[in-house]
Amino acid sequence: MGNVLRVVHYLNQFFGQIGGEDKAGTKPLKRDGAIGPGALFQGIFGQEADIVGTVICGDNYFNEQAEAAKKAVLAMIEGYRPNLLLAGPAFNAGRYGIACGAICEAVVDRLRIPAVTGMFPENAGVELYRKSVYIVETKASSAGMRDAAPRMAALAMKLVRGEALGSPEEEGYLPRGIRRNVFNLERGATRAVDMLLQKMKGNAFVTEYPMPSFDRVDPVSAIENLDEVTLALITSGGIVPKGNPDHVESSSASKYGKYDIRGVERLSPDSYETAHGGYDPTYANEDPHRVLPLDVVRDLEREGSIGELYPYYYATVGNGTSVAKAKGFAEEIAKDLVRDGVKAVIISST
Amino acid sequence: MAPDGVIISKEGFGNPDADVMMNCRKIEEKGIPTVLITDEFAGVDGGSQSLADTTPHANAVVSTGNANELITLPPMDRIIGDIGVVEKMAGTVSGGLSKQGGITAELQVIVGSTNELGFELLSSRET
Repeated sequence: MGNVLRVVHYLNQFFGQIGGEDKAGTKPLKRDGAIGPGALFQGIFGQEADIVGTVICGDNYFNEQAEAAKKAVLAMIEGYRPNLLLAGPAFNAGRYGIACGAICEAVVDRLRIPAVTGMFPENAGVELYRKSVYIVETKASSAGMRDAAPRMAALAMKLVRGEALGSPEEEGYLPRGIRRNVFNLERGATRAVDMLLQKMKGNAFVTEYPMPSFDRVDPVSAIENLDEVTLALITSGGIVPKGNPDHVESSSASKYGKYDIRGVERLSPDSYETAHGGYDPTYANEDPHRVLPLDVVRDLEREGSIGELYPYYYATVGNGTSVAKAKGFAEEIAKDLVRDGVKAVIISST
Repeated sequence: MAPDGVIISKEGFGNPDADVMMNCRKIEEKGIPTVLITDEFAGVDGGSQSLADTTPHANAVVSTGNANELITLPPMDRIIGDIGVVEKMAGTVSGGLSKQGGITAELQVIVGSTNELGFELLSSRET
């Protein structure tokens, strides 16, 4: 029996045969072996895997006491020393879907074993957990159980064996929005010509990168009393104190720096440099104002054209830095600026 | 020129993303079918939006791979040049040089690996 995989199955109170909505407050509990839909999964696994235990939690309890429930369920799952977790499927049951997603995410993260669940695409759990969890697409109701179980089991076995996965369509799970590199059989140029010919003929074609919907922000109206506002400087051009004390990466930056410029009138090439790896640094190092216009802003401050310059500037490197990282930096920096009453920002890029 | 179709290839990322999207929109608005070839910067985990700009007109895109994805290069028997830059070059990661001499870095350290003329077989897809 040494090679038989140990599987734990997570179910809600209904599928766990505790009861209906009146039992939705049930606290986490465990039962050895398979229960309810677990029997179907066990039949599919045959001799290859054994459902050693089932952990059950009421949907209301899980959603109202999320942290306590997650902790208790996780401990029960861990107690079975499993190689794999199955959760649900939850079909279109929102609270159940959220619980399945949360448990799968926690199990993958903490126990470092694969986890698979199943949901209808409109289940609220899909939007919350699709990035971190493999969610097999199911029908809206439990009438889809016999259809979902074999696909969940097949995907789970591939994951636990470390086999390469095909596309989400091939494997039957909902796309996670995670990009992975693959070698195509044709060169990019050939694929582009093929795609263009199909598009010109009005035939169907499949884009390799569906455009995301961007979070566009409408510009605010012009500032009228510029002479009263605090203005801040931010750059993605990599101007940092000489020696790059925060080790901001030359490309694909994982951080930004916040630098005190109180009393700094000019950026001397002896004290500042660029950390940016995406352009010839000669001219920025020769005169850092070419990227971060502190000189001009100090002049404006002296003339009274602006109220004052914020005592810090922020710098990162926008070279190959992902949108998600940049957005994260911006959220943190914006908090500082809003808190400190900054009303205007000049962002210089390269 | 009155072309029947256009393929836009690209060099670089960031600002060129905006240029490509703007060109794509303008050409498509003239009724000319357009295909883009681009690489992606979807982050090390592949979970970010890949480009710095977008347009709904860019509905036909060839991807030449996510340049942020990590690769591990095995130790080499012989090293030419200065190993010291290995954690400072564009795309290298802090602590990326192992004790055994292997290098973990983003794919973009290999210049041309995500060639945006579409010269290579590499692509990226959603998982």
